Amino acid sequence: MPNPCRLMVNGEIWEGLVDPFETLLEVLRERLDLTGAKQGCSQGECGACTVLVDGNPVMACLMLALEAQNTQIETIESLATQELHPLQIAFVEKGAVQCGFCTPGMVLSAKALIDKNPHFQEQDVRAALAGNHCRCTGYTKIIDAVMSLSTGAKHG
Amino acid sequence: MVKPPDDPRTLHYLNERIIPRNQDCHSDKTAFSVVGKTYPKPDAYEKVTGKARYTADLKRPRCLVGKLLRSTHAHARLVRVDVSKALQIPGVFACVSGSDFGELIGIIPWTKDEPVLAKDVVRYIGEPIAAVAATSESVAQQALACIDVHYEPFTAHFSPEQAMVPDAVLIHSQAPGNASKSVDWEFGEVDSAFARSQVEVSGNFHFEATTHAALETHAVLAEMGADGRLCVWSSTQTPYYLHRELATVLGMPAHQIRVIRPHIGGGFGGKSEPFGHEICAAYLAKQTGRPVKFVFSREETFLTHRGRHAMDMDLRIGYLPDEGLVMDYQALLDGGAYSSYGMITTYYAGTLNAGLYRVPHYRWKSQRVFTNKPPAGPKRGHGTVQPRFAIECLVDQLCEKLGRDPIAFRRELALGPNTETVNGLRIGSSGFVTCLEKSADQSGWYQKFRKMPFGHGIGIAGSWYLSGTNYPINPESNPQSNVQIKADRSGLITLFCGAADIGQGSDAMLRHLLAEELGVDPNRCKVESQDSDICPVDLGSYSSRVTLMAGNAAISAARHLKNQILQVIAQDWHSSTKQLMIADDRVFHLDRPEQSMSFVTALNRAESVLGALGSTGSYNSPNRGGLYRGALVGPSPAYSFTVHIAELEVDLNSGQIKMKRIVAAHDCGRAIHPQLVEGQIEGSVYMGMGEALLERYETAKGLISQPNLLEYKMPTILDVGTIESIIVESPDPDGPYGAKEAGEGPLHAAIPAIANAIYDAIGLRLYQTPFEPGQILKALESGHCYKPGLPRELS
Amino acid sequence: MSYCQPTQLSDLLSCLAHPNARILAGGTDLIPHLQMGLVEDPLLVSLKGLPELKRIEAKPEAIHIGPAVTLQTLIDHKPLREIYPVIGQTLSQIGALQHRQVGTIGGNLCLDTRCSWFNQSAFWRESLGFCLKKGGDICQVAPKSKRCHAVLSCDGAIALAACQARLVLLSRAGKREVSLMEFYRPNGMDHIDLRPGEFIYKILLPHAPPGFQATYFKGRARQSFDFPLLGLAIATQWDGAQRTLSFVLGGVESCLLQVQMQNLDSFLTPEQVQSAIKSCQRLARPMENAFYGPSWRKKMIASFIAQGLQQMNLIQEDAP
Repeated sequence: MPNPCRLMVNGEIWEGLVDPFETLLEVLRERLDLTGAKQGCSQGECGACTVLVDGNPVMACLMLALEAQNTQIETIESLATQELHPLQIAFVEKGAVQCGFCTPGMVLSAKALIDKNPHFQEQDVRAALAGNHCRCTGYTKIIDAVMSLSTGAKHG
Repeated sequence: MVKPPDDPRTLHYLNERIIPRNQDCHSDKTAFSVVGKTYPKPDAYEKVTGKARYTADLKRPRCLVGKLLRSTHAHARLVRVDVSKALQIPGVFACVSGSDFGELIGIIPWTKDEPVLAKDVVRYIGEPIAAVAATSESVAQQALACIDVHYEPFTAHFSPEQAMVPDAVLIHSQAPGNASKSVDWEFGEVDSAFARSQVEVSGNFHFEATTHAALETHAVLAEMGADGRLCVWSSTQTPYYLHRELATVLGMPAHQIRVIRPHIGGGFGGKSEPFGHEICAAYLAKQTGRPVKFVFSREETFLTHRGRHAMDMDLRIGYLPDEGLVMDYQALLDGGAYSSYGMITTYYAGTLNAGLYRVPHYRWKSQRVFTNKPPAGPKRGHGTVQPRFAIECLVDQLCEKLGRDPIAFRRELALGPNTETVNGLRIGSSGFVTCLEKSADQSGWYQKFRKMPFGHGIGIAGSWYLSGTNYPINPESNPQSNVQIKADRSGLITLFCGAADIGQGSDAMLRHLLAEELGVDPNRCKVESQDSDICPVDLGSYSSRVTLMAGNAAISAARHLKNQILQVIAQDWHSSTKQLMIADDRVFHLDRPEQSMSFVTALNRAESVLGALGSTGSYNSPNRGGLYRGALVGPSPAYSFTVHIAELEVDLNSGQIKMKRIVAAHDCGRAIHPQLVEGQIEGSVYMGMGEALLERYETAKGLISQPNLLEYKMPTILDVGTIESIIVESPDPDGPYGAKEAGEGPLHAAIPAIANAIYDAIGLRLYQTPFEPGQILKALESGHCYKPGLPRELS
Repeated sequence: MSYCQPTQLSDLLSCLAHPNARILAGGTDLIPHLQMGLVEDPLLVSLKGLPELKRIEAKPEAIHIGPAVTLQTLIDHKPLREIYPVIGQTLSQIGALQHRQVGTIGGNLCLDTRCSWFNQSAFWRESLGFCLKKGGDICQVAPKSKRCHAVLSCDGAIALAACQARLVLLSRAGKREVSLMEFYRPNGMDHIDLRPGEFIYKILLPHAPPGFQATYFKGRARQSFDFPLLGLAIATQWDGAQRTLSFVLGGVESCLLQVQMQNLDSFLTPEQVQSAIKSCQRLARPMENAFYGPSWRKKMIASFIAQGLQQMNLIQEDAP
């Protein structure tokens, strides 16, 4: 039985009827045409569908749309308005994008890290991105890209 | 002793190809303004903002959902496939089965043995049997459940050994003994060479099957236009081969078909042949008059497979101080249920073995066998990764026996530039020795090898690979790559080429070459490569062919365009074109510094004189290679070279390997776009590391045991350690500005380098991938482990 | 399939009385199960509307942890980190960050047992044969066995049990309290002691006894994503005169396993270490149903115990 659902995505309200089993990923991709979140496995094993829910990285394939109500959902499409986000620039310039399928999720996982801790180190980057598979880059240039935005070691 | 050709067809084929080489691809240019510099990859902006649309992201009005019914039996007669009940379900618009298709499909023209949908027989669990087009996923699922299938099981074979037993049930009636392909060759005098060899090593190696696991699963969308033309969007590395297969199977004129390759979420060889689901989508779209889209689940992509062949290899190598190596090699390939690229794989399983080092005596036997498992096919480093693992491990053993340093020994053995292997592969440039030196320096080899404490190890391995094949899959006399350029009065230069950018960055590479040759800013250049209606044919992204082949075609076309423009300006300036050059977006007169003109002005002037500006360029590879059956697989215009040095720690408590660092030096001839080359090296190292340590496409009763990304263990960012790439440039006369491949060759050496590092750490030789901690721990407990190079009592 | 989001505890209990009720906490385990057709026609009961289940409270007798507290919240919880560092150490090894952000502690404790024959699509199971746990009549891992051998795979339970956590279970029939050890049963099909309509209302964590220390080891192929192939928590107390030791194992049976040693001196003798290893290995029954086989997993018990006791300084260094 379809249930009414109200989501706040990228600052916009979306309302509609969803099946209880419909995941946030399906609603984002099929109803809102936000296809930046990718479907790589549907079981929370690749990270390509990572979006931010209240600022935290979450796999949209593992969250039912109904459960995402009353949260702020951010997808990759919200990151750049007039200008690219510094992370996006870093990914482009450092060559961290190959096939690009992991990129939206990777960028959002990285954003959650840098928003919380601007003094991050390489080990923090690795920990923050350990839920996002990349099959192309060997991770080297992704780490370079994110590290280029670190404000350095924490002092004191 | 090279045997004469035994197949008249082969020779005929060779003689037919008398296309002149495209001389003007080759440039003696040594100073560059764009080549060698890094510009952002043009597609990166779309990708980083989520705007890039992959096949699954595409939406068409009234689109139907396509789904496949798959066999639950590994080997059975299909007594009945009745779709009539499914067709009665509201919302089901079409349902087809094997009887709807006459033609068999297959990438290799001589081994088309795969039905679009299984007919009469199913040969592996997961083989598509029927396809449905319905209004929604759930209706489609419901329809599949209503298809009445009756199986009559046969004996199924799950290993080559089982399939080769005399009188074994045949998987394909035309393949006696279930043999898919065999190769048996001897070059030089193997037995007598062994008899006089100074030292000999041998081993039986097993390379486990692995799969591509590109993050994007297979997907296709097809739609019939109102004009009767078919449009197919597909996640494919080889849009041209798909185009051709669609025309053949659907019986449509090729010009009525348009194939679009949207952004591709990785390929690695897994999307490099036409598949049944692509044909089904087109057929269903034709039948229903509505768009039909298939998006595979992760499990379906695992079932489609075409991954690296599991290979059993017996290898024996002898060392002849004055000559090099003698090698006796046998390989048994587990092919799975269909040929796919298997005929070629069987050749690749041996053809590159007699190179890299001097191997004047080489005996090679490889045999691919059909089994009731998903078809194996080409994965990055196609067929050559497995034997390279065996060879480099044994070369390490040779060094140990001879008391030689592995780098010095490899340097001594290296087959240098402008040489030919005993089986007729001609090598142009080689930077292998430089790769050895640079990787040794950067990794601190001489301070570490045999000098670190027990448990810590460093290991080296080398490899080489081809930059496209001289003889394409399809023996046609048309060029292997074509390019068209349109120059617009706005100043925009657009290059059209069907080369498939699957994420590796071929569009960026082509843009670089275009800008370099024209002397203009890359930002005024654009590459269109997605649409077969507007892009001339390139054969696709496989065999590491694109940089060399499409690259040469691009340079050729750019040069023609430049000449057109310069001829007009030369006339205006009462000068000859030889005195003019274009650089930094301006046309200059070499002898009159005061005379120059902006490129856009020149372009407009040329258009006003000549009319629409455009040019074309093509590439065809040289006819090279031996004159024996099978000699056509392996010859390449140019070969890349790689050295990996792996440093790791064996966890003595668990037997698990902690990767510290892999330094990979790769000779790509010329790094057109260095950042992309590095990306290819780093990604290859990662993929090889996964195969060495974790990944296995393991089957139980013919079905992959764990078709998901939780249990197919791709390394995560926490597992890979540090990967360092070193670009080595040895420009090859056949490459565009000297460039050779970089996308596959940097993978191979990771696996043996890791094996050799494990040996350096604990004195254990490993013969089977992936290197399991259970095996390592058992060895550690047995007390037989030691630090090589030290007396045992000290280690 | 339907969904409800009760906002009162009493409503929750009514929802749970439904025979097909399934609590939807983080969903990281349940949603893949739904995708694979392992759960049929459920009534999904969301805990989102009950903030009281998301609290962590320090009370005089114990720390009370609500079942809907996310794993990441517990990892980041400073007071808890000070008292029981082992809990954060363990939970941070679960899944990946994205799983820990939504996955809850109650969900982790109720994680379904796992098996290579069970965690599969309907197509896969139909092709290779259904198993005892879902749709079949034999255990494919141990065909002669009468029970299911799917494996307890929740790291959280292993560490919490080592900290002697207890659970408050609630249903319309009332409240009851069980120890975490008793909560699990050696039957992969029915491995948790939850009666119909019952759910984990609270996790009670006693204040750490004097001289308490604990550590956790996880056997796995990769440093992220993976479930434990073996999870081992070691906890010890030293009251100034006597030492007790407890080893809790997971990932090698359908339930938790425990070996306890009492009346020990400050340091363990090599014989005592060997005896601990032997006892743990005797209890564990890893099967051929996970990424690395039984032999490696059994060996890792010894390895983890030796490493753990060393790290906790329970083995006296040899005199020079």
